[in-house]
Amino acid sequence: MFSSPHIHGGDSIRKQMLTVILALMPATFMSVYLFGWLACLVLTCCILSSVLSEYICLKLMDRRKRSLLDGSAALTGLFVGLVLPVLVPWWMAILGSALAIVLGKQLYGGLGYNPFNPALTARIILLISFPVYMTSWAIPMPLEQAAINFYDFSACWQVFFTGVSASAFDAVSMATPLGHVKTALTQQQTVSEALASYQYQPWQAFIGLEAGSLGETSVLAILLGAALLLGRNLISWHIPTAYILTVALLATVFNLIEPDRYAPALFHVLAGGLVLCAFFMATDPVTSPVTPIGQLVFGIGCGVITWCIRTYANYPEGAMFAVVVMNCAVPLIDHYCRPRVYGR
Amino acid sequence: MNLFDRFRAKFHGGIQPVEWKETANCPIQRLALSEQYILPMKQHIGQECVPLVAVGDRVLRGQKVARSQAYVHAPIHAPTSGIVRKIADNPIPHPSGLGMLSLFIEADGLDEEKKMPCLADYRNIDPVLIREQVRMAGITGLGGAGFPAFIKHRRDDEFPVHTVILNGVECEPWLTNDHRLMLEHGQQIVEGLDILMHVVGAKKGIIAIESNKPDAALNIQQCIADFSQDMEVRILPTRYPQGGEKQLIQVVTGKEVPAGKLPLHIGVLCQNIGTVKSIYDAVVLGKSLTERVVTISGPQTPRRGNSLVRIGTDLSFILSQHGLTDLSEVKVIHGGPMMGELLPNLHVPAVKSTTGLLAWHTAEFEKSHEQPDPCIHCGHCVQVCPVKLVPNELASHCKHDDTERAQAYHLFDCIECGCCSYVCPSHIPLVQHFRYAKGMVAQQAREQKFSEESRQRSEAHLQRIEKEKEARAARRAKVLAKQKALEEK
Amino acid sequence: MIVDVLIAAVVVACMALVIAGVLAYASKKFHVEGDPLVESVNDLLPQTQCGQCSFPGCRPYATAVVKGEAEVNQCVPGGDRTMKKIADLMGVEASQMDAEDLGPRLAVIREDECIGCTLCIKACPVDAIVGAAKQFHTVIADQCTGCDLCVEPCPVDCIDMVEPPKQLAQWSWRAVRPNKTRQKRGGKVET
Repeated sequence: MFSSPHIHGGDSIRKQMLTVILALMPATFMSVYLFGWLACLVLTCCILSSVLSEYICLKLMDRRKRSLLDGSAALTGLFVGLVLPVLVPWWMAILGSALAIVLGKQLYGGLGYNPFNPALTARIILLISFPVYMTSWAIPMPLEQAAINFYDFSACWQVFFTGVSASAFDAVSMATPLGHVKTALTQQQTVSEALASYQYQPWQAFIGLEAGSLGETSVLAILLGAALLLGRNLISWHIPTAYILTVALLATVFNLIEPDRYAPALFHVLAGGLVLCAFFMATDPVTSPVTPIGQLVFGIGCGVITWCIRTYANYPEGAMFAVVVMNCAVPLIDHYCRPRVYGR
Repeated sequence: MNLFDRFRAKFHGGIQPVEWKETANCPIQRLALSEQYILPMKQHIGQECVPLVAVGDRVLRGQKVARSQAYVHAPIHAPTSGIVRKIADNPIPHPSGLGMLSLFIEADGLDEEKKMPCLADYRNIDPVLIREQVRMAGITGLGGAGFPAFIKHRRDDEFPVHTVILNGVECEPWLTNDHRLMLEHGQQIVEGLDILMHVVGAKKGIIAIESNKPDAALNIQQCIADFSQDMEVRILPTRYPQGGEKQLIQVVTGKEVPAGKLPLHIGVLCQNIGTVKSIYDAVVLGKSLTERVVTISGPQTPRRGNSLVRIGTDLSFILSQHGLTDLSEVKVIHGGPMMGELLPNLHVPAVKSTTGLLAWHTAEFEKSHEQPDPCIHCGHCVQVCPVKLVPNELASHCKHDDTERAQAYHLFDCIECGCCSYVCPSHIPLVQHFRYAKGMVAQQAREQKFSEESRQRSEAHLQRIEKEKEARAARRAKVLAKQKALEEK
Repeated sequence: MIVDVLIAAVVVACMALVIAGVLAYASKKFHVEGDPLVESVNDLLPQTQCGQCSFPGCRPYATAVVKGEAEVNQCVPGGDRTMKKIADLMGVEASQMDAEDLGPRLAVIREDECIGCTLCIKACPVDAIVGAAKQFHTVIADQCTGCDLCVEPCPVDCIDMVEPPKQLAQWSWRAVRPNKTRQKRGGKVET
């Protein structure tokens, strides 16, 4: 016995996942432009290993294999790849994807049941376990100082599989703007001095010509993808807007109070993984609130935590921690932020 | 819908399904008389009727054949002249396939009619009399719900009705019966609105029509122009479920009907186009409700169209008149595709709430009912819910039989419009979850009442036994005492 | 030093006094007569008074459950659902039902065979059978709890326990079934 309605709008999980993958393409192409073949190798490795982990999990747990084809595993793999630094060795790419799928998703019951964003969970575990690898940022190819020729396939192949020795990191890597400012502040420099010594240019950060995780550097590319998501109604404006505005507001207020210690809003918004997290991670449907008010609360929470971690904690970047911490609160937020029912 | 319209649609959420209103150009055609008519004893919300006629009686068209003593009911009338052949249980158009007591009338082909007195000069007649005429005519809401119409036509000094809204929205895909009525019977509908305004004493009449029916709107506008100054046509952007009473009132008046209250309490009377047409027929022409317009459509129907169908006509007969004779691989929906029900059995009669019959090929039909995937919390259901529920959370409570929490999430405010299921990318049948939980709550209430009554009966039983025991003991004591006394003597 | 200890002791003693006072007041104010748990368990039972739990009625069974003298799984008419509710209330693990859950039942008397002995009328715990001596008896379907108690006493075996007829007013949508064809290991199709 089928209950009404007897027609369906035609949306499906598969369509949604493919659209998100499509929306990630600008950021992916940007990462290939910045890091050449190495980016290709890392991303391919992540996608393949996460699909494989998903398959093994489904097989072991006796679940339906149908979810293999819906693109969710490939998407998680792509996400993992995009939040990793390009210099990760092959085994870390595989480990990260496996962690995301097994620990981040399947152990909770598979698609739709995970409380935390799988890709960010994996990244946090990797960051805590292998801090050196996870905080060494290669100099992107378009910048003149680039030490590795990312456009040479055999060189990339070698870097990917034999790795860069820990001592060699200094030669091939540079600091991210966030990291640089953080270090400078601990050395009693002012924010403006730090930015000057980094030769910080906001437009460069906007386009993405700077060090960082594969997919997070280019705000422009992320915004292009986000426009697609917004246009297709796969994300709503509430979370990203609340998130970014909160960070900007906090940064502005404290920057006005003490400009030497607190970086300005523009710097905060363009730096690190904030925009990627705001549009793609915090809006992950499974781990974000469904009610509009709840989404605003969630976004504000993410913003506050991100800014606090960036400003006061030991880590230069806090966006991923913020999103995962707020993920815990989602059921509570959804419960208390239900909209007013018609006529009540 | 353009951006401007989007801002004007003032009810929350909603969807825009493909319209498929291809029968909009098919004029209403009278369906041929059938040989037998079956009248279920309950075609309305309220108390079931009891037959007023016996097997073998001859009845005339429009003759009242069943009624109830309760206030909330609508009497039932014979759809044609003929002989009552049987009074027995018969299935009704319902997803359960279950039935109820029904009258079987064998048509004699003469179609003799018995009319009520005409109240053509209704403006000079006491509204109470007109309301009584509407009640006697057995008119229910013809939009699908089937609430007896006269109950809404109450004049209440505490809650005076200032606006009558005619619901010409017809937001369900495929259905076009109201659309055709507005095109072909505009004058009667406008006069029907005038009758309603007179009955409830309203100053204003609004006919709400969606923007996908510009011809109907134009026709009604012309009819109004040379009729009354107090009426207006309101063209609304096309959006489902705008035809829901509460949603329409919200769009037209900007007010919400408070939970647990009626439109009456905010001074509004809302009535469907088909209902108003039959109110006109009852008051001005003295005809009881014995026929209605039904849209017969769907991909599997060869000759789609709008038919004037007598209440009680067998659905398979109606379908065969539209060229659909082989019913083996066909699924038929009773009503629109969004809120209508799949019929397990097509040998059931058309009833007052039969708005449409839509035939699908079985394989095609099952495609839209895919196996559900897990919920991914995309929140689309929250965006489209016209009553602002959180359908995904609610469904999860219903699924786990947590009726208490489901009610805290306002389960009973759900109008079952189906928007949430329609947009769900995981194909979760949310509406079915809600219906199941509503049924559970009702069953729990029934069980509780039954067990309470059983407990009382059992206590009474025990008390009675106790009393009997005492009485027996007393009798024995008496006898013993007597014996003793005798012995002592 | 000794002063500090004294102060601490005095403070703690004062707090103890205040709390004791509040508790004493609360126990007076919110005192409940009888054992509310028995009442709550009794409310969960279907009140068929059938005695299939081996107790003489629903309340005696409820009392026994609360005292720990009976298991939670003995109410046959209540079935699985009632057992789970009682287990929830008592905070014990729900177990398997003792007897098979047949669903609701209804007693029907084959009237042409009834000899009018009134034995079933006496046996019915909820007075749901009507009739007089030497007249045939009838079960009031709306009041029958399906307890089975009238079947045994009938000398001519003219009482049947049947499934009550389905009624439209009591029909409701069934739960959404989980995926119909879920592939299990070994290619078995679970429905």
